[in-house]
Amino acid sequence: MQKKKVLSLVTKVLLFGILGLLAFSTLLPYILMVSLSLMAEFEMYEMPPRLFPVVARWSNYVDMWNSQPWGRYIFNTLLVTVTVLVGQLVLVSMGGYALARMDFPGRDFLFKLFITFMLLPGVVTLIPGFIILNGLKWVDTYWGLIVPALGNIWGLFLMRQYMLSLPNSLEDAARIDGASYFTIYWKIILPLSKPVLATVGTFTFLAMWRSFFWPLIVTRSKEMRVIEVGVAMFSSQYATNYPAQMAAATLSSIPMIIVYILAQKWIVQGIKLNAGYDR
Amino acid sequence: MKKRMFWIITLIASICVFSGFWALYSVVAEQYAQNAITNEKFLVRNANLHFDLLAASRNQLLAEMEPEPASFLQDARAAAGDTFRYALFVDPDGTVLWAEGQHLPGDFTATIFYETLYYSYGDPMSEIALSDGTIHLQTGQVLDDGSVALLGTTIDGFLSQTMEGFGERWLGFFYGAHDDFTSDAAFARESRAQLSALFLKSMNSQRPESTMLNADGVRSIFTTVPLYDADRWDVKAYLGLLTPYSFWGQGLSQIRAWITVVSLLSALLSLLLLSFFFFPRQAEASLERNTVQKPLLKGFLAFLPAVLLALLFFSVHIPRNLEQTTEDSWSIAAEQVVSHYTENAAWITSDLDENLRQMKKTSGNDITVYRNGQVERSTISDRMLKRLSAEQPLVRTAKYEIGNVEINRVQQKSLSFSVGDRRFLLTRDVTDMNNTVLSLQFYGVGLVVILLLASLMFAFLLANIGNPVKIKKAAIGYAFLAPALIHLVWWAAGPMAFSLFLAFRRWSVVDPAKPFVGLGNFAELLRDGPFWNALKNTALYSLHVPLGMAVSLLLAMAVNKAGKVAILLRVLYYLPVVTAGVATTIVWRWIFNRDFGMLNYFLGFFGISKIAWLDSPQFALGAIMLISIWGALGSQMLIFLAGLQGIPKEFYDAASVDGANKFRGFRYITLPLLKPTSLFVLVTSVIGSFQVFTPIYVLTQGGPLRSTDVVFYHIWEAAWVEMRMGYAAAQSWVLFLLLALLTVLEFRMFGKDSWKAYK
Repeated sequence: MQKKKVLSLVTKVLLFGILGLLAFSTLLPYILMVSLSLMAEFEMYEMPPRLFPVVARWSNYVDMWNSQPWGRYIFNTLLVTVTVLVGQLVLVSMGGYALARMDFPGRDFLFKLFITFMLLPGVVTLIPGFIILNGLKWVDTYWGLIVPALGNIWGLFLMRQYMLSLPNSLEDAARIDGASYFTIYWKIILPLSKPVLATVGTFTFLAMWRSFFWPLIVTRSKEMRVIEVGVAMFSSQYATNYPAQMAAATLSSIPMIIVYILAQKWIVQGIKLNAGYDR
Repeated sequence: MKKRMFWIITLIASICVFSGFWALYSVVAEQYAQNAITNEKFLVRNANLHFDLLAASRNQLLAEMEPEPASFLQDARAAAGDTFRYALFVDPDGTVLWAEGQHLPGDFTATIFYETLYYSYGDPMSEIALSDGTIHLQTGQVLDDGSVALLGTTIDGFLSQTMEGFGERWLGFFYGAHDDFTSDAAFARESRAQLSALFLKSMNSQRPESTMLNADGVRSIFTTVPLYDADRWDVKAYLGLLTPYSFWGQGLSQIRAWITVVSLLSALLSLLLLSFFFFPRQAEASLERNTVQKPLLKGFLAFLPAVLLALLFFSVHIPRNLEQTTEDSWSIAAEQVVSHYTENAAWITSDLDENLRQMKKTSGNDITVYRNGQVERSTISDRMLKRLSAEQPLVRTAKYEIGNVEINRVQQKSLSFSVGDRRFLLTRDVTDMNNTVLSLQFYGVGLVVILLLASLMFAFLLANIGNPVKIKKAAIGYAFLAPALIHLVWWAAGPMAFSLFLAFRRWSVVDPAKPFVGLGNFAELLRDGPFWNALKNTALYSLHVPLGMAVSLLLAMAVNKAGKVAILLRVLYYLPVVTAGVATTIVWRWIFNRDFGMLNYFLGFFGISKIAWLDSPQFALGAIMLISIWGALGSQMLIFLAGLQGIPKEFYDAASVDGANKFRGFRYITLPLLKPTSLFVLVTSVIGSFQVFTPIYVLTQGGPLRSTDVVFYHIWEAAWVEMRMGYAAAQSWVLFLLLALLTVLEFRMFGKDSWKAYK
């Protein structure tokens, strides 16, 4: 009996040791990002590698901030992210409502169509999408950053699934009172769907904030650049100034990490509902 | 009541069909005018070339005279014949020695032309001039001693000669500045402001420009091109070509007649067929609802004539009609082009290289000269000359031949003729015309899609005529779904179809020519070593998926045992999944640093010597894989965790009662029951892994030695660096099909039961 207890203790220590180590290496890039951003350059070249700077050099941030119009990048990113967020929620909730709680011919076919496109890889639509954008003269405009990103089939799917589970009684009662479909959507279904809206919104925010490929190809000028593209350009331009690069990386990551921590509840819910979103 | 509704809906349906065609007609008319303008520009550039050739022949005339003060006047009269207007001679010190003839320029020695001549190398030069209200050509030459000989000749013959074959057109000169010009054209007075604006535009763009204007009450296309001075610096005059729009309108009225017939016919047919299929019959009228069998099929059949006619119109009629107009514009110009080339053959061949270059610049056509069956000179580059196809003759006369030629697959309308022992091949790029056809065909596809959707809608309406509640519900349902549906069609389904279309063309956003290349892109793909290398790299790279899955499964099992800490761990592990991007990738660059990076430092404890992770072809892809495992670990782990928690504890209890150890429990309970979960993780992760871009763009740019050049990055390079979007689209289709195949294989591998569970 005693022996078994010792063994289980050893297993536990080993278990938590490995889990801790993995957790540490998961976090390592984030830790390094912040600490390197505060180091003097010579501190980076010490062996063994330094995990924390001797004194925090905030001047790295000043250098970084003064070298690029970061304010503009952040403004662009915020504008695009928030617009897409709101737009997606409207599209997704209206569509989800129609698919879940209305009966019309072609509904099931269209739902299957949406699902099919959810599974399709995006690579095939990128080039024609860009050509369409170019034809509309939307390259290097907010339109080009926002409109193509408004669709979110995963969100639509979640919405539909969630709305299917809502009870009919409230809706029926409202209909007897003579409420229109829009009133029911606005006054009953939307408030009840807050949890899914928050989940979809959180994931959309994080996805839009760090979207890189699309902004890279549809923006040209610095005025239209979003933060991820800004960081990538900055890092290739200031390839030798590592602390400044890290400061830029930190700047771009902080809003995401804040949202990640604040919206934990919704992220966990999203994972529970369907964890296939991260691609 | 029902019948009345029936007729209203049926009528609306046929009116929709009818007006659909006419809505398209307005687009066609617009594009048709653009096409006419392109052809007019072609003609005016050819007229401009004739003018240049005329000037060249006058230069030649003067050069052959070898002017001397005593004999110049007589020689000039003799050589110029009817065209002679005046001759004058200027002393080296700038005083006019003598001047004879009509329309003599008043103060020639004060003009820029005199100065240009005076400081020239002694070759004769010509430019357009105005004196006594008469536009004519001045040709001058500076002699060895610094004296200048000037010959004035009329250009009346030029206009009438060039106009031959031009039909009802008017061609003329507008001498002077863009806002202060002299012209004898009546319409020039009425439309002075419009012409000024056009001349200014043309001066700035240095190209022909067109506008629509009313000349004596006739709607016409006016096209102009600037004529430069002898220095090719200042604009001295404008050449203007006026064409009644009705000339090109002939083709358009043909189209209009076609549309009239087709729209009426298809509207009528849809009306007939709809009433045949859907008319509420008396016998059934007594029933609550008259049921129509297969309403959608019938609706489709009713609209089928319209769809077929629209397809015929856009795939046959429109291209043929527009093709004819470009052919016609060569026919209009051909006679004159041939005679001008023939007359000036001696001058053209005197300095073939330089003259062809100038002639191409003026006329816009490429010129290739053959001698003894060999290319002697061409304005087409050698590389492109190799891709010049054989001519397909369309029109053949004794003097010339008009045909189709392709240069590097780009369609050209050609004119070929022989002068002496040389054969000239003039090629006109008809990309503009082809793009007009293309854009009209896109509208045509739009019409067909709308017709098909309308057929579904009307079929639904007619089939449920007695059931307004159902119709209302459907309308509201579609209204709610519309935003998401439109977005899907606009940015996913439509592009998907468009992408397939692209894959069979050469397409670049910077090159207007978008020729159809058939399977050319796919054939090139087969021979494209770097693409297969990228595919190999992608396959290697996606091996990180099973590797990462194994790690995350073990991790999930550990976390499952970790109790309350699991909540915190979950949060930590999941962080990269939703926040990793460019920022974290830059950090990884430092972690992978050969001399100061964390990774090598850590590996140093195990006695592993320093590795240049990102700079060595053997390790770079591995480094990228490591980043990807890091980024996906949390998500995979959480899905597995959910899967593990879904396995009832009783299974393990039962197994341990039976004496199975933990490993056997894992092997025979956990793994089989996690099959659906694993399949889900595998499928989504593999799809994701085929689209990795950020770390490669930021860290390696596909290098070193293309060892991290994965297909997605390769496609990005082909489309946005090399601007070969058609080729890139073909690559993306190959990638897509391979991915689909792989997904099917994955499903097969896991067996039927697991994907049933997944469903």
